[in-house]
Amino acid sequence: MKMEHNDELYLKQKVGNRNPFRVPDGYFDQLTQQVMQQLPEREETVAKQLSITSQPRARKVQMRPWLYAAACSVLALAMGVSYYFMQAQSTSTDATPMAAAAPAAPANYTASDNSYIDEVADYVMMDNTEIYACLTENY
Amino acid sequence: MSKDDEQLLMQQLSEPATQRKAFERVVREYSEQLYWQVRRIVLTHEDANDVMQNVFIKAWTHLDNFHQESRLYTWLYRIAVNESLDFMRRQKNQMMSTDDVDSGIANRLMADRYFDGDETEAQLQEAIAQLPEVQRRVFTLRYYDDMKYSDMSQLLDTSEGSLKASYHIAVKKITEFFKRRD
Repeated sequence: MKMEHNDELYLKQKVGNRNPFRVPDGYFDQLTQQVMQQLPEREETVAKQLSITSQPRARKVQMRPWLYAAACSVLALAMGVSYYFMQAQSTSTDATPMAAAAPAAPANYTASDNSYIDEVADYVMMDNTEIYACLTENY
Repeated sequence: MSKDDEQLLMQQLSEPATQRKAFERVVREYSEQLYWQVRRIVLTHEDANDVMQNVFIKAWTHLDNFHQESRLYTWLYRIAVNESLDFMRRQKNQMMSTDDVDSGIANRLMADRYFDGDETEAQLQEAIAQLPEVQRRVFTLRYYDDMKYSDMSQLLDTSEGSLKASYHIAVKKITEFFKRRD
């Protein structure tokens, strides 16, 4: 602290702390008028803000098409797999080659178990709105 | 401005019928104080004047975003500093390198008709410009305005301990700057 005080003292003795900046005569008197003349009408600014706040959702989707494509692919795959296992369980005596070659369903998986879908949705970080948009090709 | 006056002003700012008149009062009340904060960052009067227009236009268009979590001046000050720093960043991007910008400051100030300091005072501005943003703000508020750390803490939303440390480091750097030249 003493050293800082000495350094500060050194600076104030060497340079001082006077404000060396100046402004044109009468500048602050006319600054208010200058600023007020530039202000837009308040209704315009509110409308502009509303239009800005209505855009982010669409803009957000448009900016990341590759991410949404990847997320939709993963989600579609997950739903396809779950559908497959549901079919496999409901037609367990079916002798088609695909059924014969199908891997066994997870031991703890049931037809009404949607937690697998939820886990995938969480993993790709999509909410319900985005999932619906993806599935209906509205993104 | 007292807190009661400020409360009344905020009420007038929220009413469309009185908004413009109330904002004019805000500009008249705070423009000079804000100008000097801006000027210390951008250094020239012309640039400070440009930034000041942007500051108040931004404040006017974002009035609805001010929810009185802080004092009105604190909110305006933060807009002013952000606008000033944005201005400086744009200016630096247009120059060759940061070194070119910072090391020519003293010479440019000496040639500026709205700077009436001597060469040492111009060199001080050059030293200040080389500080990181936070140290620069803390140094100028303390060294030039003699602002109390308690007030600075509210203005900059930083603890008093951090501010004191920043000031200590800034003073040390500037002292070394001058001692290297002695």
